[in-house]
Amino acid sequence: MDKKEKIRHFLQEILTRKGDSESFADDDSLLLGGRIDSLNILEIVGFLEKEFGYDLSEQEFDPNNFDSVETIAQLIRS
Amino acid sequence: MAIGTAYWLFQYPIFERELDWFSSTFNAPFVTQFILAYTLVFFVMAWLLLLLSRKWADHWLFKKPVRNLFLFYTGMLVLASYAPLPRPAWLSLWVILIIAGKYLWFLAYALSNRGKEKTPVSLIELFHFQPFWGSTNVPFPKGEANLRKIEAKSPLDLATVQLKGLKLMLWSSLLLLVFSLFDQIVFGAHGFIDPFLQGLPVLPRLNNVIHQYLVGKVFPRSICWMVLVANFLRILLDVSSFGGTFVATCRMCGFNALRNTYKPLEAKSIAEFYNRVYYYFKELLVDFFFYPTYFRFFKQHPRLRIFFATFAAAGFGNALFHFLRDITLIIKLGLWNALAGFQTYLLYCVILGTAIGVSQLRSIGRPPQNRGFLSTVFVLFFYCLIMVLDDPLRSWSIIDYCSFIINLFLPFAR
Repeated sequence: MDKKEKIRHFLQEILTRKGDSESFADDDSLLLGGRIDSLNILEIVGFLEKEFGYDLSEQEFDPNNFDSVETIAQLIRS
Repeated sequence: MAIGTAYWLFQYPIFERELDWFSSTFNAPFVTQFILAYTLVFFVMAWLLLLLSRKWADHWLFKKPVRNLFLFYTGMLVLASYAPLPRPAWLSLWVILIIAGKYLWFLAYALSNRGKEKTPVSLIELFHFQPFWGSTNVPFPKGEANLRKIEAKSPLDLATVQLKGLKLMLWSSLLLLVFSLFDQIVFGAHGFIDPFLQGLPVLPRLNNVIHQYLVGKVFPRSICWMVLVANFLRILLDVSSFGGTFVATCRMCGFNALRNTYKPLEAKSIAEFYNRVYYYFKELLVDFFFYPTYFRFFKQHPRLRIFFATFAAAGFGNALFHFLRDITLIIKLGLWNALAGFQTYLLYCVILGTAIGVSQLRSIGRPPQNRGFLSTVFVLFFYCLIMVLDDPLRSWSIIDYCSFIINLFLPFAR
């Protein structure tokens, strides 16, 4: 599984747990669309730290970077 | 948007009530005469601040712009409270602080965005400080940068958003009507159905019940509980109707803002209720207190990390927001007495922060639908009760409030 696939899989898991079974595209807005919240973002941060060793404390944090599969993938690429 | 803001700023500035109070209390009619001049002074200062924060983004002053903004504002409060200033300077400083206090969190959002924006400061950023769809001290819907992200991108989007806005406006208007009827029927507030309610029994307000308890005239316990529940429902209806109206108008202007209140009575946990009832206030706390704390402390202890960040937001952030919001109390009581009078609200924040923190930890990795009806009852009971401590008057001590709460439970208490 590539990075993007792993991210998508994790987001799917979060949504399923929240009872949201609707599908989503890579560029679908999940945060601004109200499908994930701040606590979910922390789960994603935890996932990125654990899975990819990504350290977010060194940069300015912007929750909008966690809006979609695409923006998260971009974040860890940068 | 600019025309709408200018109109609202001129006709209904959000600081009008506080300035009227200030002007009459200190016999300073020039405050209301020069209200526009003071407002302009504040807006020019805010614009310069935003300009400098972009130009010198790497300067130590602007590395943590939001923290420094609040330190500066607090410093000015101390100066206005204790420095022996000449009367005109003293009055002017308080007026600017009252106006700035209303826009503090708007400015904080604009400053926090300065590192992410490469564009020059636009006047639109300032116009968003008093959006014509309405706001409280809490920016609806968050900052101007967020507004650009949620703007409808196509004619189809625009039509969809506007229809959603219209639907929400109908719902909010209905809630406003229910709120008004509820207030009149249950609490005997003045209103359009007054003539039909003559002679009917009504409930006293919560503050009155507590006051009567403290002077020894205790209401029957059943009445106290009814007042608690009615007070909770009243607050819920109030927040739902005004928040809904702001968001609906914003949507009708083409911005796909999320709802402020979303089915709060379906919440299955304390944290979920907080998330559902006043979304934009919760977001403010999350953006300025929760995330910064989360990324800074206890990185090796995931659960403690979440609890501490939640407490920083729902406890500390909540307390700071309300202390600065009630600036007229600081002027009236003096800074030190205002802090001392804040003790009950502080206890409210500590209990709320702890409860939401524990609730967050319990909800991680757990599907919400697994929790039943009893969870909802417990959540609503918790908020009904804790609202006793949400003291707007700062008039009684923690012991007074706690004694009232104990009296609600103990059959042998007075």
